Amino acid sequence: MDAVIRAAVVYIFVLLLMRLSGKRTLAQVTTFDFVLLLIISEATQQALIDDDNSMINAAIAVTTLVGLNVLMSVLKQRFKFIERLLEGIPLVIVANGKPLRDVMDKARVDTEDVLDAARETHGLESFGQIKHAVLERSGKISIIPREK
Amino acid sequence: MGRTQGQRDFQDELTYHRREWMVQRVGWIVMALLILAALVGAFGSGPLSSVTIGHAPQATLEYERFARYATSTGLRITPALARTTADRVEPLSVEIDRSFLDDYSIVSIVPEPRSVRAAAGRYILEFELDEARPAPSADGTPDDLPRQAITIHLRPQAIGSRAGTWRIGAETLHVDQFVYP
Repeated sequence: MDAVIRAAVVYIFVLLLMRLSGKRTLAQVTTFDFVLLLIISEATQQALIDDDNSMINAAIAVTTLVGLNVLMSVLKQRFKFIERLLEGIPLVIVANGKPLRDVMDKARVDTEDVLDAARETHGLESFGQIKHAVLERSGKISIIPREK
Repeated sequence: MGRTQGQRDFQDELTYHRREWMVQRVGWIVMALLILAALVGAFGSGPLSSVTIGHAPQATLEYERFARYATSTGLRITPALARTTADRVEPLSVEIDRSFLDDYSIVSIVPEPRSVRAAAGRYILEFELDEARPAPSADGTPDDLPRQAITIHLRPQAIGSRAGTWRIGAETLHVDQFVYP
């Protein structure tokens, strides 16, 4: 019985923390964030498994986690406000070629990140070639290039 | 059905997807039932699993009907109320069938038994009990002072049905536990 409660509490807690830490946390694949994800999984292992070495405990914990995930996805689809709550909405960071500095500061994104994304997705070289840039819910930056 | 190479028959494939979605939804229901069963104690540690055998004021044994492999499970023995006001109390003797206890490893026994002996087909543990309980009131109802208890934690080393006889003082109680893998 406690396997269900432990799994549910850990899931909700980590979900809440990830949500609070902002969009960019999971999008980046720098070493720092990768290490963070690895260590989080180590830290939660003890809470999930405790002293219980049986297969049935693992099965119950995993079923609870997957079940909660499925429940979340169903709720997100049915109720739009839950989707906004859990995932947020996209944020415009460059409008008409002009970077929005205060918005970028709040979102902890800098112009380097925008230029990285521009090079990676469209092969663009400079700000002059960018029309709009949007920080998506996933943390990735999408670029709309200026038409020639 | 003339299909040029590489062309997909969307109608057939939609049937496949519909079937897949139906199977998924059935799967979700099974998952929900599993989680509910676990919450209620069908796999141990819950109301469905806790059971007390024996009747107060005789000796009772509280244990879990369901346990999990290699995971600690607790038993609590509450000895019978003393029937006399004698100052001297005999040690409580708890005898456990080998056929039961051999498939468990003992994690802890609180309080520690005064002695543990191996006899034919069983183990005999002797516990010191504190001074005699006061006699029940004249009309025979048991008093409501806190009871003495012996708590034993065991770790199952084998899966499946485990059954055995525990003799607590003069009484014989039958323990039946199912150990999940």
